[in-house]
Amino acid sequence: MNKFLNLFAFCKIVDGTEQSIICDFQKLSIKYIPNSMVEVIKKLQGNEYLKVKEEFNDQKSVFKSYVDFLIKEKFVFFSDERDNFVPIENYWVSPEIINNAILEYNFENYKIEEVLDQLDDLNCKFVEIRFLDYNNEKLLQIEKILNHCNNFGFRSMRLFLPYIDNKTVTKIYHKFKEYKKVEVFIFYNSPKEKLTYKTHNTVFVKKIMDDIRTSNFNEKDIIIDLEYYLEAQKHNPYYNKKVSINYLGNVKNCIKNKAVFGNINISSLLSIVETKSFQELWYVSHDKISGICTSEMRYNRLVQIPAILTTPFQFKVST
Amino acid sequence: MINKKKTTIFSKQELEELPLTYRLMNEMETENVGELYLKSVFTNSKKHYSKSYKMYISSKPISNYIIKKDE
Repeated sequence: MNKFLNLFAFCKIVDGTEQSIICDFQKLSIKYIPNSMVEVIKKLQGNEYLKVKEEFNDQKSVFKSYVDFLIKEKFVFFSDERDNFVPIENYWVSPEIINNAILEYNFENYKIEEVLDQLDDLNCKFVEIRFLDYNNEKLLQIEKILNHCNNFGFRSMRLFLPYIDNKTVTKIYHKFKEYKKVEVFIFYNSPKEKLTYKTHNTVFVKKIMDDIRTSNFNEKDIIIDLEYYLEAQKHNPYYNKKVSINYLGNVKNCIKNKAVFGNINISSLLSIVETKSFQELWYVSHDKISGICTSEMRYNRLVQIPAILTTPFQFKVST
Repeated sequence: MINKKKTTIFSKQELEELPLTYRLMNEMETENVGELYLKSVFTNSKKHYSKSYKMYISSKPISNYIIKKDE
């Protein structure tokens, strides 16, 4: 009959100190569950259903309530087979040397086209350019930069521009809307705020660039994404394969961190990013950070604050 | 298309053991091939609506800001 109770492959269980979660990456939802249920699920994954049911004979009602819950939420299914239903391995790999880059640019101090060439060589996919200055003359330079990127492997670009007036915004939008790789134009230091976009991919924020540079991710926001979950097993998803270059050409692992690993005018990007010191935070997975490693939401959170080593293999978030 | 100039990366001994189709393989310089001889990474085919598929966003936030597209 129904020999096994199998967990769907896209449902992942993450245990925490006080409670655990089942993360459903197909429905993109999270359900909190007691730690005792995790024990039952693990036993069900390793043994036949009836054998596990017998084991919990003295706690029949609890066992039944757990199984009913899992079936009702569609986390599990009965089957006579087990071997055919292979779980998704917690394994993540990507071909990029650098996945995403944030560049600050004020049209001097370094040549952005050369940096973009190097990023393309590193198979970078996502680029954010923060222009610190703008006037009508710069419009042509920006067009040149976008033309330069047309045949690169970038899959999306974000442009930050200082807000001048509505007429300029309209001019910029109409000039560059044909560049389909640009995901959004973000106008900062704007008198009004509009953080969502539907038809026009323009966003207005009141913050000035200094505040944008030092902003932190809202800790209440969580990410339910299978690729993110898999990456978070062994890497820090925020820092992993990220590079930032400030307006002076200094290369950092994050635009708001103080540590500088080189200058783009002196060394090649590859020579800087392949150093151990640059890549240190890439491998500080959330399992290694005290305060976060015991949280059931550790694979759904974004940790932006740099971590410092306290003991071998253990880090804490720096203050 | 007739290839007048053929160069092969396989030795005679290797070709004896490989299927016959390997004898028809040519070696070409990567920079001369490009994508469909257009030497571009992304096409601009109107028929295939290529422009609509050029861009996709990262599944994880890259920046400090989360920009939400209206549903």
